[in-house]
Amino acid sequence: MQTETTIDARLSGVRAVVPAHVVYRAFPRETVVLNLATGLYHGLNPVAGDMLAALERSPTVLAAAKQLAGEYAEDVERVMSDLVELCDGLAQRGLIELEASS
Amino acid sequence: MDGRGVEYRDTTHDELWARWDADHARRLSYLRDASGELDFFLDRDDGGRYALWARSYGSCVIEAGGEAVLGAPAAESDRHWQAFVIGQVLPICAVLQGVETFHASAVVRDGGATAFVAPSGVGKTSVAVHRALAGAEMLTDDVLAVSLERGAVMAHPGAPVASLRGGEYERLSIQERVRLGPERRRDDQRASFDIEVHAEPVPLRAMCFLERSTDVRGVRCTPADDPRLLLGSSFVFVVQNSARLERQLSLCAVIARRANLVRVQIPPGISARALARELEEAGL
Repeated sequence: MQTETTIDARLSGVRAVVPAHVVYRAFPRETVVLNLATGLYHGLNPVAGDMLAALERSPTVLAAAKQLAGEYAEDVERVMSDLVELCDGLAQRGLIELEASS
Repeated sequence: MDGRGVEYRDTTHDELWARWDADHARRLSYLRDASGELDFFLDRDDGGRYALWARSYGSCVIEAGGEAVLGAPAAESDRHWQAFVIGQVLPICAVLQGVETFHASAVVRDGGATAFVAPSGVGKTSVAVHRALAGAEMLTDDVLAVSLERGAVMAHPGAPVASLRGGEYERLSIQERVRLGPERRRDDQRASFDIEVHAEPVPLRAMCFLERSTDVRGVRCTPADDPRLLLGSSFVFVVQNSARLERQLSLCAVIARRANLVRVQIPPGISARALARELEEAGL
């Protein structure tokens, strides 16, 4: 039986914010993310693109994980782990900012 | 073009550069010839104006917003000045006015546009010309202006002139050359001629990304689903402000969803005439 204690809790109560200088658009096979501050383009596969969109509209990373788990019929634990990894990568590249959820 | 326009005024070289403050401008692009002499440069000032200079052509200053241009043709450039303004200056004006431009020719058939995207020398104008000779209407020969109008991706008419490499023009019959339009000038390298273009913007239905390839035996058409093909086909790279980059990304995403994007690999030995026929038979 799955409990929240088995979920990667590192970013559970954190909100991922897409800053104003980052824009992204979905293309048929890829989501293109543009950092307007640097002029650099980044590509996300379709699943990562869905994850980014879910992160942007969710109050916390955990909430995004639960939503995606339902959409993809996956374990919340697994989705959360993938989301944490994605958030780390996006934050390193300045494409999201992680802040404590109010 | 839909209420957008450019006010052009001629002036002298000295007057044009007297109005340009080089101390508050930076160089965005330049070309040198084989001896290292400067052949072309493009600068932008702090106020968002652009200045272009091309040896043997002349100089232009594009006002911020792209609605006005001051031009100073070089004395020896009468024949080339119009081509320079149409081919280099107006595309920048279009982008500054909110219209995206692609390095593409295009034709109109059944109320929609098919664009042929390729770098110089691959044959995009030749293919479009042969499609026009086969019954399509020419829309543009080298720069395609595209905008989003009330949710629809619209392709806009270009200038009513076209230019072919000398060999391609020579391969046309006399009757074909007459059908295309009066010749403007011809030298060993190129021939330019007047051509009728479809008068109104039309929906963009397809974009064919042409590439010469030794990896295929016949013309091969496959889905072009790499966003880099669209983003990398822009004609104007020098306008890099945030508003433009975001608009360009948004428009390309809409094009990718609405238009049929096709990668066309062309083996050696296929003529532009044959390629045009194959693409027409493929419904492109």
